[in-house]
Amino acid sequence: MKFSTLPVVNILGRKGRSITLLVFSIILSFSIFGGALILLSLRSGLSSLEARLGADIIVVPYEARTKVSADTILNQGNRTYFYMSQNTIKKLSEIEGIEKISPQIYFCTMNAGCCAISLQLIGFDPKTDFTIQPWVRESFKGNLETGDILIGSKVSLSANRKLKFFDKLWNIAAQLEETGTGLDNAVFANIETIQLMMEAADKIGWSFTDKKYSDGMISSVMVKVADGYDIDNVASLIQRRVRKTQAVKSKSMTSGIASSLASVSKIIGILTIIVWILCLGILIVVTSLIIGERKKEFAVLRVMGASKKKIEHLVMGESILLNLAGGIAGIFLAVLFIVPFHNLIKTAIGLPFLLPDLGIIILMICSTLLLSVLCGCIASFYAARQIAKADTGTIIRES
Amino acid sequence: MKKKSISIIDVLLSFAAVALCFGTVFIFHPCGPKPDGSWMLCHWAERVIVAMGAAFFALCAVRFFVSQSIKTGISICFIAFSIITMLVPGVLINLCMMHSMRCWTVMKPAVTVISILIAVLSSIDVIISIVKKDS
Repeated sequence: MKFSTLPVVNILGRKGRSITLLVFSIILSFSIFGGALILLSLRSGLSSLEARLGADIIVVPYEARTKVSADTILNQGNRTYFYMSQNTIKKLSEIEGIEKISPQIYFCTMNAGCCAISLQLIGFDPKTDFTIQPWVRESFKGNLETGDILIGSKVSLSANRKLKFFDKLWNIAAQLEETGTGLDNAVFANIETIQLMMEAADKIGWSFTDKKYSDGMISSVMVKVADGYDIDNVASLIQRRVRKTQAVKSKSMTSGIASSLASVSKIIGILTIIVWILCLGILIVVTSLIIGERKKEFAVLRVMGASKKKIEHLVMGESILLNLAGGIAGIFLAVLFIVPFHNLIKTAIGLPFLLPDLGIIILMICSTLLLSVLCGCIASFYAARQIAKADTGTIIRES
Repeated sequence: MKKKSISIIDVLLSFAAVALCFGTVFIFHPCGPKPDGSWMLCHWAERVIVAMGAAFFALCAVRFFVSQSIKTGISICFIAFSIITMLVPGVLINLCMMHSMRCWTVMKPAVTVISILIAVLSSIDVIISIVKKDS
């Protein structure tokens, strides 16, 4: 047997001892990787939410002011609809400080045959839109024709690429990338398509509004404030000049979610650090005790000709192998439990949750493995030096 | 007569099989019946998974009474069957249209996790028996 294979032989030779150290190493790497993955996913979700909002101000009918929040529309994908006159666009275009305006119309489907919840339908004007199209372009580069729809990532794509709403089939042009928000449950189309859907709904007796608007109706107007103008001032101007509307600032919509996210992140961060410190402490104590028990073993090796350096390398080698194995197992378990259940985690926390890209996950895996091995080295370093320095003769005489 | 022994892997596989069979019915079950009493697509996926879980459980019970070579054969079968079980919800049998529904958020991930654990434990069992045989 070669000296270089001794760490493996020692690990396999005393399974109980090795499994004890392995379990703590697994807990350590699971908490580090799992905690980091959840935190990064929450941050990605919030960035995605802020990017999706796009507009500085969203103008809605006054009676709908409580229905419009980042939480209800973008986070939970609440099926909601409210309307106002299309004349609002003309009034807004006369206000100073507004760079871009784009209308949107909201609608929702009835409970579909295969499932018990309805879908949010969002209509936008491709000519003026600046919030949905930048995101849509990542997945769909063609022109959205009348009758075509774009579906969110959490809406199942049927084999015939068609979805049935209000007794009519609509062609699915593309499925959009996941955003980690409620928009993943929505369906997007141009305003003409939504109006066709409303006519189809009317034909089958699905009544969605009592009000009639002679000049057409919309649900909201996305507003981009020009450079050099204050968003609060423009919002106040809109409130004063355009009656029966509410100007909702995007920042105020996301600030609530951002502060909830900060609290949740803090709790997860603190818990991860506590588990890490506890595990490291236990690893140091247990490693010292185990190495202390093996004094005679190391003394025999010294008598057989092993140098102090070799004994140190043997102890460190065992520690590195165990912690590497524990690190791999811990990371595997964290990925196994977090990635498949990420939708459930999102629903439970009630915050946007978007898993990071594969490249970032690989980087996290490498960092966690490195940290896991480093922790093992720290845990065994002191004990390794002590055992190497011990007097061989004294140890053998004690036995 | 070859020596029979019960290992930790036998016990862990039994727990996983119980989790798959009974867990799918009582804990991570999919969406319930519709108001008119009919079932959605995910219900049929649940029934197949419960049947697979029962088969796993039966074979795990057999493992306690047979030799290591037969156990290895059962483990090889487990690897294949666990992959098939993992593909049942959402791939072999369609689930509900909305990915935010219970069948997608609870049942499918739970079945995926348990199937992967069964595959990993069975793979470890096969590797250990090959290494023991060589040595």
